Amino acid sequence: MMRSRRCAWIWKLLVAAALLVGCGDEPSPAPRTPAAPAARAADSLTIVAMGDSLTEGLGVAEEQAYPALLEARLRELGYDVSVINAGISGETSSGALTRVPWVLDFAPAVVILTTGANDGFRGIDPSVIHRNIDAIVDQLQRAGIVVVLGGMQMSRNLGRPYTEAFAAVYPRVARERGALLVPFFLDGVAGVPSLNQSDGIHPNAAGYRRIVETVLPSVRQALERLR
Amino acid sequence: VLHRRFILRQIGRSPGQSLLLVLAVMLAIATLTALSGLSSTVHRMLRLEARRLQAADILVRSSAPFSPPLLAAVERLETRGAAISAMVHEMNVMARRVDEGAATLASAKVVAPGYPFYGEVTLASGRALAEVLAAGRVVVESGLLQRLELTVGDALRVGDTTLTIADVLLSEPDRPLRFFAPGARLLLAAADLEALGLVTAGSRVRYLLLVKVHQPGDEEQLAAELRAASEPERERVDTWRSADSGMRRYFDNLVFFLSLAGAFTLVLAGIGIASTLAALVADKRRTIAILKTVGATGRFVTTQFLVVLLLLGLAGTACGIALGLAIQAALSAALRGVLPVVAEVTLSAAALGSGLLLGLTAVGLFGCLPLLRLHSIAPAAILRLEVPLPRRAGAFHMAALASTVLACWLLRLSLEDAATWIRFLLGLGIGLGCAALAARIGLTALMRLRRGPLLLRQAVRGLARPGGTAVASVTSLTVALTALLSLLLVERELNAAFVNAYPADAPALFFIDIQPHQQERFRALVGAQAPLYPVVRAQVTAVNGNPVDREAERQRRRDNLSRTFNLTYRDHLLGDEILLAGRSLFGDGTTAVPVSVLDTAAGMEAVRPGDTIAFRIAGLPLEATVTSIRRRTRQSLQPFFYFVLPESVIGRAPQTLFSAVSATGERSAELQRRVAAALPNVSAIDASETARTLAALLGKLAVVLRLIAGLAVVAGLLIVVSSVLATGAARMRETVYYTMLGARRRFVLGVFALEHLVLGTMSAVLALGMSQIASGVLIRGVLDLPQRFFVRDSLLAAAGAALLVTLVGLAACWPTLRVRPATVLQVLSEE
Repeated sequence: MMRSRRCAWIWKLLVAAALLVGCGDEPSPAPRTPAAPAARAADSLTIVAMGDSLTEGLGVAEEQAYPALLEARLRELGYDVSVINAGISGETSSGALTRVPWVLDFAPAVVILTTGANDGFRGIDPSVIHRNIDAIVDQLQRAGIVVVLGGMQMSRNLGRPYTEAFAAVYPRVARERGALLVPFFLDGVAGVPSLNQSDGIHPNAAGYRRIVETVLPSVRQALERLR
Repeated sequence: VLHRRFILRQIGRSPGQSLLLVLAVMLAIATLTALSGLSSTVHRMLRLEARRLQAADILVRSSAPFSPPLLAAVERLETRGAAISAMVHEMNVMARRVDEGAATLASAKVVAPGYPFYGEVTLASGRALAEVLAAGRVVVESGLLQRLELTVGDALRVGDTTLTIADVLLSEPDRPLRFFAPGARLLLAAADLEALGLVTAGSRVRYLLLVKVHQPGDEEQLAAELRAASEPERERVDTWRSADSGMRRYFDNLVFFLSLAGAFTLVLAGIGIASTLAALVADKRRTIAILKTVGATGRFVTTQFLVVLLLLGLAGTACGIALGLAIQAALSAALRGVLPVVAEVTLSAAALGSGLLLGLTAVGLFGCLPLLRLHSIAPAAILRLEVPLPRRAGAFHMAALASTVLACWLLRLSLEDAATWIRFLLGLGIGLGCAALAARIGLTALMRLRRGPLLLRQAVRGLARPGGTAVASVTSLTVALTALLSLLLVERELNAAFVNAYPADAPALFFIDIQPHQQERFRALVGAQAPLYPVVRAQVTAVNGNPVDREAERQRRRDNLSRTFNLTYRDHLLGDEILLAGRSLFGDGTTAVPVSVLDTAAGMEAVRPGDTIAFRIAGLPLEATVTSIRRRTRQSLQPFFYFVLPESVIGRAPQTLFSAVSATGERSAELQRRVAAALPNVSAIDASETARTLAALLGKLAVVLRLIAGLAVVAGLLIVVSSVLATGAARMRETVYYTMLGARRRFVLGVFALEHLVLGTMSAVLALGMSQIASGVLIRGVLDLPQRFFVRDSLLAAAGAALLVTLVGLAACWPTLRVRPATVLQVLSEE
């Protein structure tokens, strides 16, 4: 407990310093290099949970969202890992592609990528989503990162042609890039009122506990690959 | 015993004063009657608009299929003939060309027959929706046709079925005023719902149940029945009263403004009648003293004069009612076609009652009380130039108390809310006290003027003459002008905050999710001037070190800290922002990580400058110190951000860009097409229909606002004019003295002009300050809007008021300047 508090304090200082140092006048899509992830990675393996509000844990406490629960679960299983919640609510696959360098600065060993739901809600062409996710996985893998891809499905009201094309993006990328695939990230959660918040979209704390069990096998597989 | 000849003679002996009293009462009653009619029209209009905005009396919403108990409750209402209902399903769909070509996201609305219960769907063909919409047909917005390059009569694939495009949708009454979603609108018939195959397990659908009640006024009771049968966790039952249409705040503010205008008119009317009555009674004081000298009893005198006042008051009331009805008829004719409801000509019992009560109260307070004080006047007083008032008796105190209670109760009728009434009375009391004190101090200071031109010294002496009413005049004028200026300032504020905030050319086409590296390309497509706002998504994790409890936050009905916020970076305030706290956006530059917070967000946790807010941005924590609190000065479709940080802090955080462009019709469609082709990840939100709906509604409300303010202000000014005329007409004696002493008419005119200029300027200056305070309390405290001071307009209004008082005062004195001294002396000696 003491250790984690001290880490958090150092973390804040380092982050504030990193945010202030080295920023030019010209805004640049390239993120600054935070020193913190490296310090954190020194004593444990870093897993970055990259995604949208489903990863961020919109509407639930940070410790109830799946990245925190996953970290606890993996530690229970004897893995010395830390899981960074790098979810951004509302983010599309295009936004995720743009911030890959930001994620690389965390120096992760594993990235759990769950993106595309917001693209679907906006009716973005599945080929665009495929192109983005494919590029993200490619960039991460080139950096030596093991990618776990969280598969998504789109709500049925968008019609069969769209939902089928959308759902096909994830297995195709996983197959073509050799990434580990969680067939459906919200398996057993989507459409179950007791596992979702009142908006019917975002999981509640119980929903996230279920999600941890869904992604755990693939993440363990990823960690095994690293050994 | 009433002495008819005596009463008529008394009325005839002071024709000017009598006429002014009748005029003041008439104006007061006419304004109250006209305002009452307008109030009824406005309330009917707001009821209609509120119903139109949800197309029903009762609206039930859910994100899942309605529960069986709720549906059973609706069926029961229909069976017993209390209401009818219509089901609506809203969802996003992909609309496709049948040739498997282009597809686009659309916002579909599947409606049952009967929709909409209020308002109307307007179609390009001009036909009614019921004639056009049937199974196998679809009505679409033109944006969709342009996007898919289709026309009316073509086929459109939606879900599992193919539909024929039957017409072009121009507007729908219940489109939410916060409708900001990508995709054009489609209207489909409920008969096609099953064929669409889109409402199934795993679909995201918004379920709406529209209910129209048969008996107006039953909606609250029927809504309570439905609420009792609903699942409160996911089914929400609203009547047009409780639903937040997005315009509710404006509606509430308009109703408040209406009651405020009524209350201020009452105060103005009271002051006007009081001034004219006081002048009339003062005019009769010498007559009363003479009557008593020749043996008349106090009771006889009081009774006769009370009847004089009541007769004049009744005459004024009758004329006022006639004029009020005439104004209503004129308004009704003028507003035909402008407002959605016909302004009826009505004489409500409430308006008539409050008018009569006002007359009684005014006669009681300002007529009866001086008469009661004269009840025991010593006949010897006739020998003195000015008649001093005797000590006040018990009957006087009783009458004063009764009249005050009646006046307060009248105001209570005008201001429906008890808390507002108490605050209004308190404010009025404080205002009267301050005005009286300031008038006394100001006039005392002027009296000390020993040097200066003779004209000025005479004018100042004139104000201090024995038995003079300068303090009372300044006090009443100040309160009256304060009421008028406050009303004008509140009206200006409401206009600035709502009506003017939605100009026709305001950007209503929004592009979201532009990636930083797409900036140049986007500008090349849309125009180099297109503004781009960086958006950095972040969660608030702690405030002042206290972690945010998301579960508790989510329980709040209003905006809360459980969600993800849009942060931005810039170093300046926007045109519609002001600083509420802090000297600049980011303080003096010594704060490592400063953040400027919008007051709406600051209110969630009562954040102040110096407090700390911890954010989490894409996995990184960031603690910032609040350096300023901002406020938006108007409601608008303009983008706004709760948290603004310097670019040096978050300029390199993961971000997207957002743009707002001014484009409608074909140009909007062309831009959307161009951007979609070149940057398929960028989504367009066309809010022009929402902007049009808002502009149309606000246009109607602006007319009402101007009418209320105009009516109250014009009537108020006339009442002020009548009271100045009444007090000014009592100057005849001074004119005679000046003339007898050899003064020329020009000199006398100068003295009177200066005297009124002093009165008017003093009242206007005091009213200027007091109205800023009063309107500030109303605007900030009651309307919850930022206060603008409208300095130029306020100064102009105050200068105008001072000039008006001077001119009217002079006009009142003018006839006496033309009277020969001998004539006046003859009249005085006759007395």
